[in-house]
Amino acid sequence: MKRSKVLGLVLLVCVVFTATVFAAGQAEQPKKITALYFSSTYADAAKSYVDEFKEKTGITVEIVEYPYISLYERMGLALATGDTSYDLVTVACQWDGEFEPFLEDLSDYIERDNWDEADIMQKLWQQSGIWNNRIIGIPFANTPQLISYRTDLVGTPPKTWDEFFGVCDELYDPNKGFYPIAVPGVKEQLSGLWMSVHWSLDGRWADEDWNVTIDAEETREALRITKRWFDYADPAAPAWGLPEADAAFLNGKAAFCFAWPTLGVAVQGDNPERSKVVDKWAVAGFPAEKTGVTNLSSWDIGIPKASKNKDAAWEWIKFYTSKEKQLTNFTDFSILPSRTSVWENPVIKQSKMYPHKAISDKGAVIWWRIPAGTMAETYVRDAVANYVTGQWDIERAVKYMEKNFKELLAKYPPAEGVKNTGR
Amino acid sequence: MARHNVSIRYSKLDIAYSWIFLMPVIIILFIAAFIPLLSGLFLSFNEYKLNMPSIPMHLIGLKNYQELFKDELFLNALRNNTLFAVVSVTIEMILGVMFAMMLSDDDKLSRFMTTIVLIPMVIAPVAAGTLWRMMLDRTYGVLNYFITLLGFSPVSWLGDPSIAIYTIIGVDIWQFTPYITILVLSSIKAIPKSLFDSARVDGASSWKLFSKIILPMSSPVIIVVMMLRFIDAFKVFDTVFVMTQGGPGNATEMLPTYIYQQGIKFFRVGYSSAIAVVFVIAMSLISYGYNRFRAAQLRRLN
Amino acid sequence: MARSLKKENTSYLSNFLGTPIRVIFLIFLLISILFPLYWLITSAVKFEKDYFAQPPIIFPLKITGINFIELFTRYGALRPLINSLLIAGFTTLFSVIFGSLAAYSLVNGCLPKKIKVILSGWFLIQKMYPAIVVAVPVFYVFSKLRLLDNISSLIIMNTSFNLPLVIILLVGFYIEAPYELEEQGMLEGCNLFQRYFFITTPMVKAGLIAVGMLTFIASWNEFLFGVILSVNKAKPLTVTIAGFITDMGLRWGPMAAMGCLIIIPVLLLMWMMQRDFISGVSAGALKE
Repeated sequence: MKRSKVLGLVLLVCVVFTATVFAAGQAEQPKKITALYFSSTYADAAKSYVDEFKEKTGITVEIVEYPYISLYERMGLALATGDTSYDLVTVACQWDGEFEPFLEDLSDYIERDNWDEADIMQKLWQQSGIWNNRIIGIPFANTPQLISYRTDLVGTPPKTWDEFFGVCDELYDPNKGFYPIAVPGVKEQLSGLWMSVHWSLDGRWADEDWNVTIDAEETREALRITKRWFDYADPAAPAWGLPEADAAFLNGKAAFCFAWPTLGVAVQGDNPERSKVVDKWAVAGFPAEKTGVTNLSSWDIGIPKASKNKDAAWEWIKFYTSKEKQLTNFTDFSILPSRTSVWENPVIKQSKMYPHKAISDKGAVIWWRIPAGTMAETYVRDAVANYVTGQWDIERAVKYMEKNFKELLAKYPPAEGVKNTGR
Repeated sequence: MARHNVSIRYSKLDIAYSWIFLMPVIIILFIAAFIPLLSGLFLSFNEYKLNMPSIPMHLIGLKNYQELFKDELFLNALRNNTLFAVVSVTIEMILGVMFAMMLSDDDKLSRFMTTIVLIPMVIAPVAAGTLWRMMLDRTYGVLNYFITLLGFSPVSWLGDPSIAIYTIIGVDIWQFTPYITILVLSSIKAIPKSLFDSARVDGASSWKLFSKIILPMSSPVIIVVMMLRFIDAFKVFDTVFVMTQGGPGNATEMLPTYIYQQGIKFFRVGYSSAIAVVFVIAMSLISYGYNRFRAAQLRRLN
Repeated sequence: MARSLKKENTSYLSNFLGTPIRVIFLIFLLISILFPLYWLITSAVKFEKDYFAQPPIIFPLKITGINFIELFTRYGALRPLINSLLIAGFTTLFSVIFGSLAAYSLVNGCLPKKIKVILSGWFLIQKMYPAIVVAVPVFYVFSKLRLLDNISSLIIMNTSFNLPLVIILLVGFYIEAPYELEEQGMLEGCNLFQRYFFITTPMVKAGLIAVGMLTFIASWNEFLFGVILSVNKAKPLTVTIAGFITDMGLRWGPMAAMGCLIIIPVLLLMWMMQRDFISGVSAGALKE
């Protein structure tokens, strides 16, 4: 082949390639927005509404989903660098403080459209969606941490941990493969469970003004209780994630399940193909001990400041958090509503999930929502996991949390005047 | 590396071409590798939490480095990574050399086995990690099933903190022993057969052939391979990320996953860059040491 | 790699630990490599409820292709597959073209010695650090360039990872190529480009194929930057498989099917071009 022909061909390929690259980068279909969701029921629900939304408004929504373990990094990286990839983000309430500087204040939109904000449960909103006196998100999932239990094996749900372990002692039968507690022992789940126990004993990480109070008897007691769970759990439990714990319970091998009911047992519990405990389960709070305060998992949906399609994004928010959609979220996807009116709907009121409301009203909280919140949670995570697996002793775990909390608050203090509304 | 006599004069066009040929590489490496690394170095002297615009990036000198050496999680990751590297490389080297010897024939069996041996090398670490995770599951995994058949009780390969790191080492050995085998095999095949013939005439046993001829002559390659694997062992990320995420507790936290945690999970860009700089310096020292060793070995051979 | 024409019996080497030990070890090797592969393939064709069977089903009698079908219908694996192909393909193209140009210039061109020293020094440093180190600066730059979620950013990064090795290997191959033809070309008045294109590079074809294969496999298997630089549309297959480890559980069916999708093309490629692959990998270490 002639040299010039070859050269020309190579050049052509390069030009075409570069052109495609730029075309792909610049091509923006009109009225298309991208939403970042937590990969599970919430994303599934969103995806099922996309067509209806397009018909109504002509806007195409692309749902991007990531599992919890990488969702935070993706969201944080995009928001902190001013990336324009996402027009909507679903922020886990514990990340409110971290992402607040990068999210749009929705108060103007609410006022402009006269949106029915009073219907949203206010206590919930304070913990999920409102931070630093700005409304940065509308909560759409309200899940205080509860447990599932076997109604045929356990009478009334125990009110104290002593009672609880008493029940476990009676039911423990390893020869039959029956371990009373199905607990997801992986770090990220165990930390939340420990927090629920700790707060129910009236423990606090710090007081209102951020003075660290973690070095207390409640902390140690909570750690001991958490470790004791594994005496009554399957030996593989320390490596279990939510699905393994759910599977154990649904197969009839456990009396209590510590995995989030809304993500597992509630969805499959009464499906004979998936569950051997149909109609034999219910949900309840952890033993309430002193306060009955439990961990909160809530997600609020907000608009990044860097988004180029804020108006379109707001339309989706109104749509997704509307009364109708919150109802179908519950019936089809087991997502608990954030609107008081929707809770009163007989479908929900008479469902097995209704106990969640009482616990929510008592005041489920989330841990520190400061910019270094994730770091704080990781310290708790590591301390609890290392203690429970026997790698650290109890003093080391407590002192580790205390030391790191103090350093963290000194280095990355919360903004002026912001009080500790969590624990 | 150019092999012209100094007296050859190159035309101006040729000189221009020489530089033009090099340009694309220089540009790409400059933008995609050099600049990011340099910015990493710069960042390591700063305090910068990406998601706290209220505290802008500011110089803090060597504070990140001071914090590093007192950070017990960093030291834990360092310990784990070193254990991982030493154990896996040692076992891989021994097994690799052994298998290389066993495959050094020219017959059909050896060629068939060589083909098989190539398989783990080309599997994406992510895929290998997920596959092994499936097989190592305590309750439903097939490995524990075989173990129970042999009469032992099932093991929590990834959930038991004292075992987890050895499980990861095991998977690494599975994936990279072939790499060592292939390389040492090439080196063995490069040794002229005549050397063996004369030794055998003198009545040397197989073991003597191995220890007195093959091992010394392959030692430069073996040392290089050991260095490459050792350094790669410190870069392990994919498998750990997919199999344990550094858990249980912090039992399998490695340096790259720790850098990931600090840099991308905590957004402490300055601190993670400092860890990275220390990492690069340490690795450079190690490879320098290896190179000296290898040069000495080469000198001894000649 | 020259092979001797007569097949000598060298079992005195391969049996250096004794024949029975060799047999045992080779059987062990065979099983330990082939069984996981077998498990992957059978897992990909099992029915969903069979994953949690106790004891695990070793020889599935009831198999289904639904996992593979669902990969494309439910999990949209077509896009990641195309992405992986494009990324690996273009990375290989660019690495081989630019790498061979640079390597040739280093060997047969007239660059000052200092350049070679600097370059080899830089290549050494590039091997020293894990990719994670540059992740944040790179993300930031590509974000500002609006190239996130665009496979070109992945192509650029992958090329930068592979170029050092490609150049080092090709330099070795170019050095081995007989110099007389170069000299003859110079005498006939060919300039550097003509000599590169018509004379010397055709001679190192084997080397080009070898590095091409290595690069393709390396970029096909790449994970970290796939995660960082892609959002939705530009995800390669490796990122998609990691996405099956969700909070809803290990979805073993699609995971195994996706695993097959990732592994089998590379295996086929490698089997077809075994010799080149081995020579490429060996050359890498021998030329250090």
